[in-house]
Amino acid sequence: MTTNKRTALLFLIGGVTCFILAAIMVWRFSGKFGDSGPTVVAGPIPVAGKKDNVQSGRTDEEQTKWMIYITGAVRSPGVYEVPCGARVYQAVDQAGGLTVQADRVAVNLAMIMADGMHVHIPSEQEVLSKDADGAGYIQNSPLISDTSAVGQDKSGIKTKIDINRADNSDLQSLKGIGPKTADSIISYRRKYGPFRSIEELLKVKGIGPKKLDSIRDCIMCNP
Amino acid sequence: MQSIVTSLQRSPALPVFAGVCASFLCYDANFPVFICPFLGLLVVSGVIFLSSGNVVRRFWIVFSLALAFSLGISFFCLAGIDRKEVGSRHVDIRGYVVSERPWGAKRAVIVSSSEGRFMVLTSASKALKEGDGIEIRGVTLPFRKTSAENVGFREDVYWKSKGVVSELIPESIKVLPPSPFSIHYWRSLLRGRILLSVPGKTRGYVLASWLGVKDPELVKSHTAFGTVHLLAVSGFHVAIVVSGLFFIFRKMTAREIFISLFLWIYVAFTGFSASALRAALMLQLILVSSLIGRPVAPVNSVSVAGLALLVINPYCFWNLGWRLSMAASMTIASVAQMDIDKRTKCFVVAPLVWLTTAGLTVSAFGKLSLSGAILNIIAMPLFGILLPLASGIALLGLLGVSIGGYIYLISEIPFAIWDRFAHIFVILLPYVDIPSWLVVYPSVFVFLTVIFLGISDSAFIRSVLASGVVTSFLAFISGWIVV
Repeated sequence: MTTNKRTALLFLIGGVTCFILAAIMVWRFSGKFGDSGPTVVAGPIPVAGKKDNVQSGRTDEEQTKWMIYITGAVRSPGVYEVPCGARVYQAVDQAGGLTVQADRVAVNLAMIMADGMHVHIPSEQEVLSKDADGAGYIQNSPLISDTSAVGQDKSGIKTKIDINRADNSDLQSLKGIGPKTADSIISYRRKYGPFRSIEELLKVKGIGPKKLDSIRDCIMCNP
Repeated sequence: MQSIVTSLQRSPALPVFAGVCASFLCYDANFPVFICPFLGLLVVSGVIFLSSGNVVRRFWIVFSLALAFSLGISFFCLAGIDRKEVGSRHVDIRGYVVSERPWGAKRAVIVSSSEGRFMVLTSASKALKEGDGIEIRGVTLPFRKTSAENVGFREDVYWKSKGVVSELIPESIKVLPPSPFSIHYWRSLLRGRILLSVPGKTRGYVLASWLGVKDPELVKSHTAFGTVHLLAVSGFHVAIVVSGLFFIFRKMTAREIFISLFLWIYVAFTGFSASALRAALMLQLILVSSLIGRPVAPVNSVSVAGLALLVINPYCFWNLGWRLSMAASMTIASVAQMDIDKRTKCFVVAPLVWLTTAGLTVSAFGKLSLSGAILNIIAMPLFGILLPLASGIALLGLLGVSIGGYIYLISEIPFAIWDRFAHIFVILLPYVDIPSWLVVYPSVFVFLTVIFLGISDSAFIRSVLASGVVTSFLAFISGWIVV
């Protein structure tokens, strides 16, 4: 075999090897980074009150971690990863524990949290200066009441209506939203998937900027 | 001394382009940005080794440079994609309409402003047209992200490939007078003039080839014929314009400079579509090569143009127009570089382009025009004459030369004959639904074989073997990556 022929053969083998290595690389890495991108796959609309996370294309079985934002009287406030079904005390532990100023009575450390929840631990000073109804210790929590989206829970704490979970009657409890507009919101959600922001309501027939402004404080969007 | 040139030295940008495309495919499969370019390196090396038959002077230097460029460009492009995410916020912008098109029951308008480009859905009654000044107050909304597995229409990448950063839900829209300094204003003006003064099919073809505006009736018939590419401004149109300019400036010194100037004015009027931009970049490289006395390497020019577009706007990669344009031009360039006689090249190029783009067409639309394989052989030279003819007649009319309505028959009659002939042909070889698996990989295989034959300094069997390896690789990874 001449040198040229040998080189050509070596190059051919080299080329094939490169593609085999590339194929192995794809095979080994595929699926390992599936959750890295915020890919949205439109799925069924979650039923109000059900503690699921179908919107992001992941089922309860697939999702093993929740992200919790904890603020207030803890040593290291911030965003933490907790296991699914975790209770408030676990998030407090992750945040370094309660500070000496924390009001241990005002917060229910045994409460089950939800993904994307904001937990605020009030200080004694804060509690004293609160209104009589003590609203707002735990914000944007879909689990604070029995139904995920309704405005007031058993303890009387005001919550916002989650436009991605609310049913027809929940939506009709909002000022200026009648049965037709509520139907339009649900139809939009079915057609395009969960709302990405409160402002997306503007794309629903029957909701204009003024109506949105009037209900803005009573709604939230948990994607 | 006889110069021995390897494929790497003849077309050094091609392996780089292949590596960057491989990086994009991995990115689409959710691979982290820092891994994708390294997979691209393996593809670069693979392409170089498969297409090179021997080692010549400076081979390893060029090889290393190809790897370095692939790595750098891949990182740059993929990082650019990550940076372009914009969240929801209130904006109050002042800008102008860059384009508008039907979008379901509404009109989708792209508005360019100092804060970037936004897509606004408006009702048809707003009657916004290209070039209009506009003042909008509203809320931005990021596009819904679609995954690569979602093989249908991907709205987010479609708009991002047009430079749009997010959707804008308008709370109030105020139309302002257009600015005469904007190319969009002049496009709109010209479009209005053509619509009013040029009749029949000539109007449709002139609108398509001058401004990239497609007449729905012509799109329908050309889709059935398999010649719809004639209505999108591409290398074919740009080449006609450049040929005409070469003829006009044939006696001028440094004519390349004037031709370049007119070339970019033409591309600006066509709306800077991906295919027109790719063709213009490629021809610009050829013009520069001609000016400085360097040999012209078509495959290398196409690859450089493709890379440049990815650097300018990485979302081009997901634009079907860009992909079709790259596949077609790469095929034409490879055929041009093949060591076969000119007559054979002319005869095989149209069916080969049809075949190499068939995979993309079927995977996007699920249908294939069988008649396109043959009609394109006739259509390309025919429209190479008819389009300049129609343009010349329309230009006389637009300039106000009193020519009378009958002059348009010169172009209308050939267009009508073509239409009738093509329709008969379509009855014989119809537009068929075809399973994508039956077409995609054979099409990819033919495409790669043509490229390897074009760039390779080795034999036919080696080229077929090389394209077989790459096609098998693509088929193997398609389980995890949507190719």
